Amino acid sequence: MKNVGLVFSFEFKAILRKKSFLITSLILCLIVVAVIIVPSLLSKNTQTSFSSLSVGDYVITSEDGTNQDELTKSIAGGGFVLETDDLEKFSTLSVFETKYATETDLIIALENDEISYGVVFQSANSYKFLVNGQKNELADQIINQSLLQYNRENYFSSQGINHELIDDIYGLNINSENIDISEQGPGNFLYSMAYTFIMYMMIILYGSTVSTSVAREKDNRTMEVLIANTKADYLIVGKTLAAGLAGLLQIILLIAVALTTIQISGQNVMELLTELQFNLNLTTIIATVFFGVAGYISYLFIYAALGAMVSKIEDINYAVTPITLLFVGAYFITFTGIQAPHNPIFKFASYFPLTSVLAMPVRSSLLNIDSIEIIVSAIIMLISIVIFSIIAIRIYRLGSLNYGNRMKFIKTIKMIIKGEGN
Amino acid sequence: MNLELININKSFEKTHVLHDVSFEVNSGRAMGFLGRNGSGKTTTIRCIMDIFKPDSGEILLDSHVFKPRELKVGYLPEERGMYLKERILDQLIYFGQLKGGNKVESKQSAESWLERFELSEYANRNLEVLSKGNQQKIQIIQAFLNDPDMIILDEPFSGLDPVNAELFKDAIKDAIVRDKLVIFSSHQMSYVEEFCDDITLIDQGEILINGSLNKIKTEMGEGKFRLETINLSRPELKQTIREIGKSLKSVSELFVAEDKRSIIVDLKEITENDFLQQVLSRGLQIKEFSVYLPNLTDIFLHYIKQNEDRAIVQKETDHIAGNPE
Repeated sequence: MKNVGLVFSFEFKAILRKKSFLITSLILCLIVVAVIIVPSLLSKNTQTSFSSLSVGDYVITSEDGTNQDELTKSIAGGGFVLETDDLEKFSTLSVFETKYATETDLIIALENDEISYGVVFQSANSYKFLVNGQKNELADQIINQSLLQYNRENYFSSQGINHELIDDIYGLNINSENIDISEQGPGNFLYSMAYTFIMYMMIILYGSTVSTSVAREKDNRTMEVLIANTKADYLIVGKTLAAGLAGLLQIILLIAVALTTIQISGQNVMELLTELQFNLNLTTIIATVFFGVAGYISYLFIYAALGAMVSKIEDINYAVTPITLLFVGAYFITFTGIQAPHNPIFKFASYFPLTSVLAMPVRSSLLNIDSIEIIVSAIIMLISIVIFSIIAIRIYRLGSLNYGNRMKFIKTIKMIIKGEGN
Repeated sequence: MNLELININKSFEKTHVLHDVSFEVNSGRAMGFLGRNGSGKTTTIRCIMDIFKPDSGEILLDSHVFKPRELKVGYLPEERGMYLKERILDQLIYFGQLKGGNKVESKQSAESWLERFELSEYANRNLEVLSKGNQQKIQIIQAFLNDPDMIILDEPFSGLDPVNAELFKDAIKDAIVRDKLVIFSSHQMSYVEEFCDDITLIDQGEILINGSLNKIKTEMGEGKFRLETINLSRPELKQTIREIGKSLKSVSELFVAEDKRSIIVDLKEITENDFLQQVLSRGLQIKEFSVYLPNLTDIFLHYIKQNEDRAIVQKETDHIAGNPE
């Protein structure tokens, strides 16, 4: 057993030293940083959201908590042309930087970057919003809303109606909540998506790493020296665990980078998690850890065995295609299951060992399923790990010295059934 | 130590590769394992190394079941390779540890062998930066790490230049002197002849001969002499010897073989003095007349040919008996 540790340590260090691992980690970290930073940057420039605004006595406020300075900043720096006398009392005009006599003057000012946008008020209820290549949807919407409000107030006043009363009537909301007691919180949808994506990435990436590593040892003829010195079982277990840990390490790194980026970008991680409305109970967390780790290791064993079936490294893609397709199938079933968690295929997938790695934690996070279901699936998973690892070790033993043609899977399984590779 | 293979059989699918392979090897004596391409040498070695499980038979070390991973065995396979993109010292330490050594002794052993093979400066470089010959030396070092008790070398000299071959030869000689058990497979007969006290010859999965090389040479050379003359070319000498044989009614055939410089005669049916009298009476000037000891190539060719002839006879017999394989 000491040699399992040796193989593991050598392989793990080898993976960490690989340029491809370092570059992939760096690229993934940059992607994570970009995914977190870019949307917030974009939203600062153009996408500040507001569901409703009220414009009163030259003060612009947002009911959804959008920063007032931000709104004022967005609308400041504009110019306008008043082609109608109906808007002389329109209070929002005071926020504009400059008033121009004609539309032509305004366009020239816009071209010379003297103003960031321009508005030509044609009548009380129509205007042109002009920009020079740099959109300012926020200012447009604010003007639109405040002009609408101004018109409504004028109309109500002319009819002798108290506009504040009307506002109160139309501002009345009915709050309703649609609850399915079989489902957990809506935030777990995002959690399921994230888990499925992370597991998909890890299994595809590290499955490929481990199968390539085994195939390369056959290709460069290192295999014979290795199995002359230690048992094939120790080699495959050491290699699989090394690739597995490298994958976990990469994911931990990405999570750490994500949390740090969130913190640096001024957001509070705990508040963000609260906003995302994750509702994870202990059962879901245990299911995620168990099925994640066990399924991941199972797949790596299978990939390692398939790597031993080829003689040349260039044949590796052919050998791993069936299991990759199977896993992609598991991914799509789970993805569909996230949107329709009561789907019977999704339920079946949460018990089937090659798909339960994704399906069971996702089902558990989306639905209030009985713990016994998780336990049954976990037992199936454990039994299958034992079976997969035994088959993988035997394929590895049989394949490790087969330098001829690529081994046929069915033929290899028949050989194992006959007792070869014991 | 005494390593003994007893009736080892191995088949791959329907091909019976090893047929009751039996031989023994002792420590302090190198054994040359010889055979043609595809004769079963590598399969036998892989069975010894427990890489292939024999279908039947036993491999014993000092009368106990041999478990190669429980003993320090240095193995240089025919299909050899190491990690091209790993540092040389790191992987040598790794292989040393896999063989059972601890990290410190594996490192010391690796460094000492790197120095001996003049490769110390590459210790921290990746294997891929070395030339093919130097990569071969690293693979040889791998087999000698941690002072193994048994060394099994499958075609070790292929790819080595004469200078490096000399370094390697010294390493093997050292191992033999230090009472190691050495099994040595090669097509290069001169190397086998240089080191090996014993030989085992395998052909078509069957052991043709196993034992002391000197004894085999003596047995094969019994009654045979080498003759070289000054005044006759080899064809003329060959003709003359045949004529002498015909003139002596009691002798069936004197001529046995020839090489570049001389001919070999069989004097089992005539005394050396009678034969020399015949030669001198025909006016031949003798340059060399000595006891003939066959070299390894002669032994190899002799036994392989004998086995082929036997196979042909067997095939014909089977055919006549209506029992073709």
